[in-house]
Order: sequence, then structure tokens, then C-alpha cells
Amino acid sequence: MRRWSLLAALLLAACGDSASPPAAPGPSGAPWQRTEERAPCDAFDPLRQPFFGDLHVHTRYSADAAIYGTKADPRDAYDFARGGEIAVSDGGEQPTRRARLARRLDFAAVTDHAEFIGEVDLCSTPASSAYALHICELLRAAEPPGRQFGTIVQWLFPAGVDNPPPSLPFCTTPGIDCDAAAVSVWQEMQAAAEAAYDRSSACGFTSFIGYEHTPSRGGRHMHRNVIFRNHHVPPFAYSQLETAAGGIPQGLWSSIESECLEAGTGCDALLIPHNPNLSDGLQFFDPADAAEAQRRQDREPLVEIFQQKGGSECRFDRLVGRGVGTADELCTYEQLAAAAEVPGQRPPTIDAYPRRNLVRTAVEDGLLFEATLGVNPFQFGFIGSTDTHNATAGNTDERDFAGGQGANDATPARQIDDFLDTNPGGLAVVWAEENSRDALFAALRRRETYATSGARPVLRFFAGGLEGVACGAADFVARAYRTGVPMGGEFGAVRGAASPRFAVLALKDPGTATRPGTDLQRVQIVKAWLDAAGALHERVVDVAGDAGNGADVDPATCAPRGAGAAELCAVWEDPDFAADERAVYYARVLENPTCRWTTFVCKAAGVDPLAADCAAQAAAADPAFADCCLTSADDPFYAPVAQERAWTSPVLYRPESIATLAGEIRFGAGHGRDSVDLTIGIARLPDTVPLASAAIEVELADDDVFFRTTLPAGALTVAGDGSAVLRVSAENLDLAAAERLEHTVTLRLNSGTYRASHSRRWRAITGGLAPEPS
Amino acid sequence: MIPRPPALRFALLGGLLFATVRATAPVPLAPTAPPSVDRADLDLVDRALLAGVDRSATARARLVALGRDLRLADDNDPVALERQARALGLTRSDPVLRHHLGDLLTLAAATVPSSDLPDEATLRAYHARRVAAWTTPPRVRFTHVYLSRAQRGAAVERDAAETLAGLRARGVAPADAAGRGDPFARGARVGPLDDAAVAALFGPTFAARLPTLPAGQWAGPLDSPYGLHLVWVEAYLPAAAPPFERVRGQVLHAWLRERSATRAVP
Repeated sequence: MRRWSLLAALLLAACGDSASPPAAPGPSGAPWQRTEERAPCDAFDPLRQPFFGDLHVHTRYSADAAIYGTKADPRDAYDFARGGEIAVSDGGEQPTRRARLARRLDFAAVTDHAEFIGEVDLCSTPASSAYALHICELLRAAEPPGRQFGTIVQWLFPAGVDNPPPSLPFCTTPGIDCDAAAVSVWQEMQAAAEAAYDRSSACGFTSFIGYEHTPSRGGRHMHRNVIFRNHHVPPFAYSQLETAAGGIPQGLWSSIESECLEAGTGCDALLIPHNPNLSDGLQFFDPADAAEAQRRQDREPLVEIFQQKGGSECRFDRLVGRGVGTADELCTYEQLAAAAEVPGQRPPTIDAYPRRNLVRTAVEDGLLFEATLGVNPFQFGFIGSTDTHNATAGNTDERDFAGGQGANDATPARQIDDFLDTNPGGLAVVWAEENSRDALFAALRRRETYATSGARPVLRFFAGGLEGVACGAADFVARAYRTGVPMGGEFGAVRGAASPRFAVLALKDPGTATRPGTDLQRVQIVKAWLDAAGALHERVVDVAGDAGNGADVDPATCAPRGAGAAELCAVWEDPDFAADERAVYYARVLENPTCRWTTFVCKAAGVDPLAADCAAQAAAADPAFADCCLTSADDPFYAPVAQERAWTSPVLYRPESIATLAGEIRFGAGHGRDSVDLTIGIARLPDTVPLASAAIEVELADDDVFFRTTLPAGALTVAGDGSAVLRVSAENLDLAAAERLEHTVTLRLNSGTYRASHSRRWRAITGGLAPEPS
Repeated sequence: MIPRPPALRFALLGGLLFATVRATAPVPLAPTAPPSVDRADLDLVDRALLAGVDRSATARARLVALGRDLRLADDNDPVALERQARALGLTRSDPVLRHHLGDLLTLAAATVPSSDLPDEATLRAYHARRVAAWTTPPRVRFTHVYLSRAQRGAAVERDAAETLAGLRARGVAPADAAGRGDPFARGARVGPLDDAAVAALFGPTFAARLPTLPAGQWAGPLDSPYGLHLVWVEAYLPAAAPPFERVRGQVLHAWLRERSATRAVP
């Protein structure tokens, strides 16, 4: 193994940036700070651009990927993400296959498991003091696929027990320093990310430094990816082995807080939980109190809703005709049978399936906690990713999926026989002004993201007053940012008792010259709400397109057939909206039907799932392909033809959030002559905080906080109908830190556990700035 | 207590420490040869010391711990403990440290004492030979007026022709063209992007035709999966190789990585 020396890494770090670079404003109009040295991006759009990426990628540095025979390292993974060709291991763990993306990614993060990275490295390095150990031989051995389970258990079992040991036993042998190796590997992961990151003004590719924190309590996945904003990262990748004593995930939260967020080094990070569908309900547990709920909301703004190990949006069993808290028949999509990987545990029936295994029901439950605690712990944005263990970031095309588990699923027979219910994975899409770490990270944190199941549709979603936003209006996007919030945002009773508006604009995946994108079938809005009696409800509404367009696939060729839409647009109002009922809404876009990856593999193996004589073909073929003939008539979830889809981050309606905002800020002639005059309307006071009799902190921010004041108790004027008005009026201020052009300004109110925000693009007026009146 | 010279004190106490560690270490999964001091080990340690890797956090923590165990300073001050430990030569003789430093070098496979870094001329020559690796491909910045086939149906070609004629006749500048077409999710002003990025957003047909358009005037319509686009190319940016100074860090990264791939470490 060849890698940077510790000293080289230190030298190169010193070449570029100081230990604590000063925070600098972003480009004009960007609501985020630039925390790193780089050239400004030539392609900067204040109305934001979509960037496609993968935030969940494993290489041979991960213990399981190494056992599976993956030979590619983080540099190979980034090369692949940027459009390069890399070697992929075959069924004998030899790197004989080649892979290349048809369309490169805009960003990626290699997120190797932090557990045992030192041990893996020592076992993989010929000259190391541990190389000859038996357990290292096990790691390197090219075991038959499917027989690697014993090795997996021997290596990874410690990560699944409470109070795990700090390392594998051989690390205590004198002369073997696994911690030193782990530090070295962690530095190499950083070096690989740095080498891939385009800091030039072309901004062609962004890498994020990251890793996966991998507790699996008895086989119940409670995994999170740690994504760092910039190169200021902790000196060690704190795995479950180091954080277990603090609880799951509280130990990780504490580690990130102390070693990054509060370390004073310029470090910033967020955590992305994934695979709740394999957590047995443990990934999203009840918060102990409002403080813990707030902590989760702050640390985990996103969830990975789709990846190779299935979709976690929702679940519906078509054979019994019931779902988990849903009647949404589209929730059969990409389901794993099991609810966890607990040895001996049988897959649960639909009625016994854990509610918190699913993102939609967790998001719904978040509304309950918001009502009772005042804080929503499950206020997630959505992303997709792959979780590939082949280092093939973003390799999501159904038409040539060659596996994602190293030698385990490197052959068609193995794919069908043992990995039928996995899939190529999804993508994360981020709306950001430019392709740089600060811009993308800010978008991740504010949840202006959506997930895809692997295709690349372009999707906009806004909510709020949206005055003047219309499908035919050329300024659709600009007006939407001025009069509403994008995906991931929150809003109050912006139209009083009348329904807010929801605007969706979707473009199909344009595809490539040889593989055109698939037409869109329809756009839906999924609404979940909490009624006055404390009961949760859910509804799915088609708002654009045609569910009955009759589109299908040519059974002989899998070519999509029938009419669809290249573009769909809708501005929708909720006919059942009730101003006192908190709710979440997200958009789900469906493509026309296309063949699932298994159908392509099976057809190539001579067993055609779409042929009338599939069973006969299977009888004549390798028994590994028997499942090729499964149909929707005999499986609760699987189907040989499916609909790729995308899910926007939800927007959150909170009755007690900021409903109206009017006024302006004025820049006076001379220093210290600026003023603020705002009238803030709240439709309903929160139940959990006595806002009328509490002090309220008010902030205005763009890329930094340029105004902050605390209004004393009683500043809120409460009307007879329970609504309230807060007047903020101050003069002789220094607002020099505020941008002077049209840009996004966020107003925040904080009081105890109460937080509310109002984020819109403010107009530049003569001598000042003002929000669109509402 | 009979005072002994530092080296002998280490030999007794260090050896005792080592023996204690050996006695209490859990049984390894397979027999391993006990660490021993030989010429190759010392060479590795010497190189590690020359490279300064004994300044690693792990090495320093180990020295402080050794100093504390051996009571090398009265007040347990980490700085004093480390200094005394170094003065006793523990960096070279403590087996755990020795293997730690050796492992660092072995794992890195490219020790970089300051005398071993490439000089400026070498680095510039390396950059010149591989300049393609840091060259930005040609890019284009443009504004487009989008006419949606979904919105306009069969009239889209006619509307495109009329809109184009209007843009030209009135000399509409790109910045003022926003209201002339239909909303496009990606926005009206695009780039600069290379052709792969253009294709990823507008499809391959659009991307193939775009470079043929003259700059500084309305042209089109160009076809995309979504409809027709009238395009004003603002600028064609040729392939650009950033100056060496701007990519020096990346060049050094690449040089060192390539050198480490060819260098053998015993």
C-alpha cells in the first residue's frame, strides 16, 4: 500500500490553509460564509442550481468492503465520481472488471466505516507488524461469495455489542499500534478528498471529507454518515467503538460537538442517518425531552431515504392490501423483507413492521413531538445515495448494474440469487448557488435537497404565499424565492385561514445520446398532518401529470412505451388545510414505468421475467435465476417493472411560526445610521413556551448575523383571536455586514425552546432592503 | 537507591515495563515473533526521527506516558515528561514507540524529510509534463429563453420563431429577456459549463449544437428534451491551464503520491 506520509500530509496542509482561517463573506448574494481558501466559482447563480452527488461511498478502507474483495481506494472512488474509469473486483476478488459513469457527479463523499480502519490498514499492508496474523489473513482471503459471513462476524461483531472493545484484540499486542494506523488512514482519506476537490474557478467537482459511524446493536442498523463542511476535521474519525459509552447516537453527537463544532478550529459537520428500514425501529427513537429533540434536529437535518439496501419512504404490502400507517400503494417500491439484520429474526408482517423504520411515519411522528415538546426531532430533509462498497460512486443506472458488494454480487447469478431486493442506489441533489463545499454544505443544512432513486430529474418545490407564481410565468423561480420557501423550509399561516400554495416544477432526466431519459408520469404531493384531537393523518394527491397515461415497457426490449411528460408544473392549494393543524408536505415525482435492473440481468441470463414462459426458461437455467420469474402476484413488494422516482425535502407548516413579515431595513448616510423597522405576525402562540411573557431574541442574517436584539418580556402584542404581533424598531445601527443587493435574508425568533424562522429573498429598495409584503 | 546512568535505568525499567506488558497482553490470535531491535528497525527509527514523525500525537502521548510511569519529572508536567523521555533516548528504545514510528514509515511508504522534497524546478517540470490533469476544459456561458413544449404544444416552433425575431428586432439584451419565455427549473443564465455539464442539464442534442452558435447574438432555436431554447452565448471560455502557482499544492500532492508508489520501504 502506498500512501502519504504523516509528515507529507502535514506539510501539504500547511501549504494551503491556516489552522483557523478567518470567516469571510461569500460572494455577493450568497447566504453563507466562505470557510476555506478557494477561487470564487465562475458559475454562480443566486437562484441556485441543481448539483447531483453521492454522499455514501465505501472503498477497501472499510472492513466489510475489504472482506468483500474491493481493491479500490478513496482516490479511485473520487476518480470514478469525476468520470474516470476504475477497476472493480470480480467474483474471485480480482480487479478484472472496469466501470465508468456515463455522466459524472458534481460532488461525492467517501464515507468508509470508521470502525477498524486502522486494523484493516495494518492487515492490508505487507510490511506491517500485523500482516501475518490469522485475522489479517482472513481479511485478505478470497473466500467464496456467501461464505464471507464468518469473517464478517469475526471482524465486525464488536461494533454490534453494547460496550464494545476499543479495537480488535490484536491491537493490544506490543508493537502493533492500530490507533496510529487509524490516524494515518484518516489523513489519507482527507488527502484523497483534497486531491479531488476542484478549488479553481471552474468548480468542476466537490469532495466532502466524511466517514460512517456504524453501530449495529444486535444487527439493528443505527448508522450515520458524518459529513464535514471543509478540511478542518477532528484528528480522529470517532467510530462507534469510541463513542459507544455515550449512547447511540448521543455519543456521536457529543463527539462531533466537542471535537468539531465547539473545538474552535473552524470545523463544521452534519450527520445523515440511513437505513432506518433495517433498524428495527431504533433509528428514530422518542426523544427524552425537548433538549434532546432540539439536539437531534440540529445534528441531523437530513435522512438518506433511498440507497442500495432499499427505500425507506413508506411500506405497503400489495398481497394483503395494507401498509404501515398508509394506503399508498406506491409504497411497495424497493422494500427489503426484513426490518433488521438480527440473526434468526423473521421478516415481520406488515402489521408488525416497526413504524419508525420508515421516514414518512417518522416525519409524521415528529409533528406529535412538536406539539407536545415544542420541538420536532424528525424535521428531516431527504437525500439519496448509493452505499456502494465497490467505490463506484453514483453508479445508479438500472441498465448495467454490476453490483455494489464486491465479490458478493459480482456475478449475475449471485445478484439474482442473494441480492434480488437490493438496487443500484440513489442520488443526492442539492440546490446551491455554486459547486463549492460551503455552498453545498449550506444547502444540506437548510435541507434544500431532494433524493432520487437513481435517475436525474430536475425538481423545484416551493411553499408559502407564492403570490404571482404561476406555471406560465417566466419569473416562476425568482418570485417563488421572494414569496415562499423552497423544499426543506418552514412557514407559518402566510395566508391566514386560507391554504398556502405549493408550487412544483419538474423536468425529466435529459438522459444521454445513447440512453434518453424516461418521461415523467406525474407529480404528487404527500401531506401528513396532526389534527386538533392529536391524531395523525396522511394523504397523497396527484397534482400534475396522468396516472392513467397507459405507459409501459416493451416486453421484448424493455424500451419505455407510451406518452409521458418532459415537464410538469403545478401550483396547488390544499382543500383540507386547517390553519391550526401542523403539517408537512413533500413532492414525489414518478417516471413512467421502466424495467428494474433485475429484469435486464435475468433477460441476459436467458430467463425473461416479462415472457409468458418465464417459468420454463427458469427451469432450464441455473437455479440461481429462479427468482427471475417472481411477479407482483406472488411477492408483496417485488416487481420486474417499476417507476423511478424522486422525493423533495418536506416543507413544514407550523401554526406558531412566522406568518407575516412587513417592513424594511434602511442604510443611512454614514456609519451607524442604519435602521430596522419590521412588523412580525404570528398566527398562534406556541403551547409550550409562554411567548407573550418571555423575552424574545430577534436575528436577521444573510451570510452572517447582521442584526441581533433581545426584546423584553411583553414585547409581543396578543390579539383576542390568539394571534400576536411583534414590532422590531431600532435606529442608529451598524448594518454594514448586510448585503445591499437582492438576496436571501433570514429572520429568526428564539425564546426558550421556541424557534421560528422566515427566510425569503428580500428586494433591494431605494436605500434599503425589504421583504415582499405578506 | 544506587544512582545509575540513564541508559542503564532505562534498560532495567524499560525492560521491566516491556515484560509486564508482554505478561498481561491478551493472547494474540496467532503466534507472533516478539519485537526485537535490529539494524533495520533502527534505520527506520532514524528515518522517522529525521522526518520528524516522532512529533506525531501518538508518539508524544507515548513519551509522556512513559515519562509518567518512570517518574521522570516531579510535577507530571507533560512538557517536562516528554523532554526527559526524549533525553533518555526512549524514542529509539521503547518497543511500542519504535514500532509506531516504523509503522508510520511503512504505512506511508514515502518518508519526506525536508531534504527529500522536490525542488521548485523539478515540480514545475512535473507540472508541465502533466498539465492536462489541471487543465479546465472549454466552457460556455449563455442565457436562454425557453419555450416549453408542454405549455405550448404544437405552437412551440412558431412561438420560437416569433420570439427570436422579436428579440433580434428589438435588440433585447440577455439580462432583459427573462420575461419572454417559460419558466425553466434550472434558470435562464447558465454557466460557464463544459459540454458534459451542458448535456447533463439540456440533453445531448442541445449540447452538441451549442458550440456552433456565434457569441453576442440571439440564435436558435436549440432543441432539448423539454422544448426549444433561444440562446445568447455570452462567452466561450477556452481550455485553461491555471498557472503553476495556483495549483502548486495539488502538483506537490501528485508528485509525492507518484513517488511513493515507486519507492520501496523495507
